[in-house]
Amino acid sequence: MLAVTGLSFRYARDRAVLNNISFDLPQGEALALLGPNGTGKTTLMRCLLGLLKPGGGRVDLLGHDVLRLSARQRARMMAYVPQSSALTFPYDVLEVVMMGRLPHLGFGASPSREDRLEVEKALAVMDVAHLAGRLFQRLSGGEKQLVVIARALAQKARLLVLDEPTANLDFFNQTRTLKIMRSLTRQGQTILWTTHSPDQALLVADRLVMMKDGLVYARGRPEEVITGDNLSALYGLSAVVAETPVVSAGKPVKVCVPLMDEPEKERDGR
Amino acid sequence: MRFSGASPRSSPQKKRDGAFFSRLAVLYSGALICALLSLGIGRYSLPPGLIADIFLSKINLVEPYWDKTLETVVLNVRLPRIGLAILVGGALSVSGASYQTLFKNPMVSPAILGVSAGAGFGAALAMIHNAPWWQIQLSAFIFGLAAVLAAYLIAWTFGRQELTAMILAGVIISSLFGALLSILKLLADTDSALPSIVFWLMGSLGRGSNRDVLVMLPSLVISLGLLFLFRHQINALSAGEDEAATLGVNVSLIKPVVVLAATLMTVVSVSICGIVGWVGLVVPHLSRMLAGAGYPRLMAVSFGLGGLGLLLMDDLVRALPGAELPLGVMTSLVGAPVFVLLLSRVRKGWL
Repeated sequence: MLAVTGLSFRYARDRAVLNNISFDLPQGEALALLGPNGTGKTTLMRCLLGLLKPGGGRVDLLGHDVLRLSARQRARMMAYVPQSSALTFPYDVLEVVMMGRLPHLGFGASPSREDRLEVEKALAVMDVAHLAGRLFQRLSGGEKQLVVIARALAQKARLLVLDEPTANLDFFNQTRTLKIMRSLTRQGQTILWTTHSPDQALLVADRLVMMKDGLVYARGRPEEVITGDNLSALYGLSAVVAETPVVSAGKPVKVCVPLMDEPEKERDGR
Repeated sequence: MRFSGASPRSSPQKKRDGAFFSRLAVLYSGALICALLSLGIGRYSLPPGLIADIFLSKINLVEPYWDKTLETVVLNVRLPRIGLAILVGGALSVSGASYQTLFKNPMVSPAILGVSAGAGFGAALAMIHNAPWWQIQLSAFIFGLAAVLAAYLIAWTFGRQELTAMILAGVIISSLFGALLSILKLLADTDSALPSIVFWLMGSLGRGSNRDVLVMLPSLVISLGLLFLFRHQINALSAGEDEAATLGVNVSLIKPVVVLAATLMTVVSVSICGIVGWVGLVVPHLSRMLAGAGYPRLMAVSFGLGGLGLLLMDDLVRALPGAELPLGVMTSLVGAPVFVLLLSRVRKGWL
């Protein structure tokens, strides 16, 4: 579905932000990108989305080189949910979600009956149909997030890319977003998202890519890759991953905890 | 995917559409009625019946029973002036709505990229050479376009045609042409050229002719056509360039198209009637109250409301006794308090 091969990127003359990044994401799985601030996650995501042109390597989406696709073709295959979406003008929720139909509109055409139906479906899937007539600006952060995910669903794209989807949300809305992401993957949606929370990656991800200083530090199944040692090395601190006695879906629930009294370690490469 | 399906027939979308189209119909029929009534306003006050007869006589349905000058007044003075008021008001408003949506900025007006300052300089340059009226208009047109081109090129040197850089470049260019205009004013003959320059800068439809309408129409049709074709893409740009790109918008194509179309409409308007401020800033905001922020509908309402608004302003100018107040002065007098009212209603979204 998505194949990233040897991807490199540097801003003019700076040191490389991304260095030889490779990973695959098969259809119907959720991949989490985990890594410290400034490690190149956002740059990687912008390369995937075709917003930045990588210096080397390639990104293939459904067998097509992302850079060779038009913006419209890309938008039909891949939808993006930004960390926070701000609209200056008083758009209502219907108008925002309808923007997701843009890559399906004919040249110069208005939204059809089918487009309207897709918008209503997306609103229903996200359980925000009651917000349809409300102004987007006036929604809470959690509601905005749901609406923007609905917009992405209306795009009917095979791959959903989310940038720290839980960053600005409270505990309830974080959980709700994670549940939605999980149920979407169960229905066959492929998801790639960035996160700062190893716990959330353990809960939802099928695959994990750990990034550090523009390199892939580790990748694999979350329960294999998210270990105390890896987290400690990744963030330059002491952390443990503990199994709790709580069992959910047949497996013990794991939590990641930093050890507060241990000294911070030297972070590699800094 | 399961969903509890509301059929589109009963959907809130349909209901909202109905409300919008009835508002649009009221707006445009209101504008049409005002336009017809406006034919009677002015030094010679004419009853609607006479005006109708004058039109009917043109298709030989009525024998003329009136003074020939009245016919000239109606058909060659008032008709083009009314037509221009509607076209210029509509053009400036759609131009303002487009720039505001593109720049995601409610304070942006059609003059943002320096078009008015450039056109003002161009007109003044022709006036101090005692050029005929059409050369003054042509010079305003050329320098208006040159100013926007210069602003665009300055922004280009910053790299990715950053929107903030474009606004800054517009400010720089406006200030530069403002300074050059001041030099021309200093040099201008204080008896002839200077008063014409000052009067031109205050805007007026008083010299509008049927030829002006014919000159304006093609560029207006092209600009509105382009904006209409790309209306949904422009709409998505209000979410920012990156988000628009991920929604399938070819940003590097749409941005210059919007700038080109909005500039063309503005520069033609300014060349024909001088600088008429506030319309392109205020009308888009009023239109959002009627149609919401979505660009496709905003465009349709802005044109009608802008046309109707400028027509009423010009009617006021023509109806008030004494010497004619310049149109630009009238729009500022009315626009400023309206904008204050608007600000008090929507300030939460902006500040």
